[in-house]
Amino acid sequence: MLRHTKARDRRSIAHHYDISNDFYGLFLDSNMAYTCAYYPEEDAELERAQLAKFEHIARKLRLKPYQTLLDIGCGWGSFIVYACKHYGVTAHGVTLSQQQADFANDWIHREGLEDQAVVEYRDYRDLVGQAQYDRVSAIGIVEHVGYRNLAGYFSGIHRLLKDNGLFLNHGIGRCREWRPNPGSDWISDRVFPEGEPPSLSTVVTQLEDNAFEVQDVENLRAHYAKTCADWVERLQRNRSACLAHVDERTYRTWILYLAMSSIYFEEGQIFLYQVLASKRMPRLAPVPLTREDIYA
Amino acid sequence: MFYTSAEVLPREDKVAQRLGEISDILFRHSRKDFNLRVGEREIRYTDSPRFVVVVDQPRTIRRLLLRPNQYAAAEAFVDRHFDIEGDLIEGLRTKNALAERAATLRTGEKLKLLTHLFLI
Repeated sequence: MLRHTKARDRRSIAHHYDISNDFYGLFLDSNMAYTCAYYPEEDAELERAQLAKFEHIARKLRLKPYQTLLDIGCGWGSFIVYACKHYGVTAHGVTLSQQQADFANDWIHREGLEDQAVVEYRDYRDLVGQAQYDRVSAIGIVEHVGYRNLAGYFSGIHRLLKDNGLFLNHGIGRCREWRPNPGSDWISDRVFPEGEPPSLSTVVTQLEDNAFEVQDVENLRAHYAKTCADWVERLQRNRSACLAHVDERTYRTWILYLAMSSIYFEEGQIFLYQVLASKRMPRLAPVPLTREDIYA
Repeated sequence: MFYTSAEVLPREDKVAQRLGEISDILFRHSRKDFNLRVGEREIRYTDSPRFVVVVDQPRTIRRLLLRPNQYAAAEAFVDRHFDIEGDLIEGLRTKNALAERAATLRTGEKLKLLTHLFLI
């Protein structure tokens, strides 16, 4: 089990995400979304699939105008900007990458959303208060949290969420019987230091232990296999431009890591789970009777 | 066009012939829609390959096959000891073919592989 102290997490996140915003810009879509996309059709473009992902999450969270949204590990702020623009929420994002926070705040400024959104360079563990947010999204963060901090992570979200709130946890998961191997050692040495994707059962158990009730679970691994393949293709297409920002070894590390990830998602060695949860309350949860609203 | 056994270039080169036999044994059950290039030597299965596995020198093959390890293989890729030209993801899936094949190798095939690996 890894230590995941605040200082170590700050270093780990900086190692991965502070490479260069421009480098990420060369393979991510124009919204700088660095997680699994949602392909409405087999041959949908990455740009469209990333927006469809935000829409899918926004619908699952049943976002409404004037609601308060906390986005933990908000990255370059893409979901925050989307939710503010299309759903009129008030959003607060936190990230442990200074480069991401600066980029996100610039973007919020460019969109004229300063009154609605703010992104802070801050550890999720330092968020204070109680029942502050109507909605909480954590897109691609749970794999960075670490096993030993999972209980604190979920109880912290429980504390921050309002009683009739909804929480969506979107993250990579491994099988229950997974054990470290040379391939995963390489990824943690070279790409993602201290990444610890939990199994779905761990996430569900943690949610239950922290007084949440699970509403929906969806596995998007087929979408993530396609997303990684799209990133590889974009990296290869922009090879010479990439080499202006990073050295050849970094470029090859990234291309290998993304290509192998695509294969592992396809083979079912890793998964992408979206788990929607609400606080356990002595009344009905804030979701409609059916799921038709998501696909309307 | 598929060949049952590899066409090696240069044809008279002993090492190229051994590399061809190593490849034939390892990929006996695989679809032969790819080629290999080891330094200047070529191991060809098709005229329209989906990808070409490029290895810098025979020694890299020996090292990776005798002590198969994902960590070492990843480092070898990053350091350009081997590369995939063409469809990268399809090329990397070869690892599955190799892993499955390793379990079905017979003693005679293993001995043959070892002999070739030490003589390239």
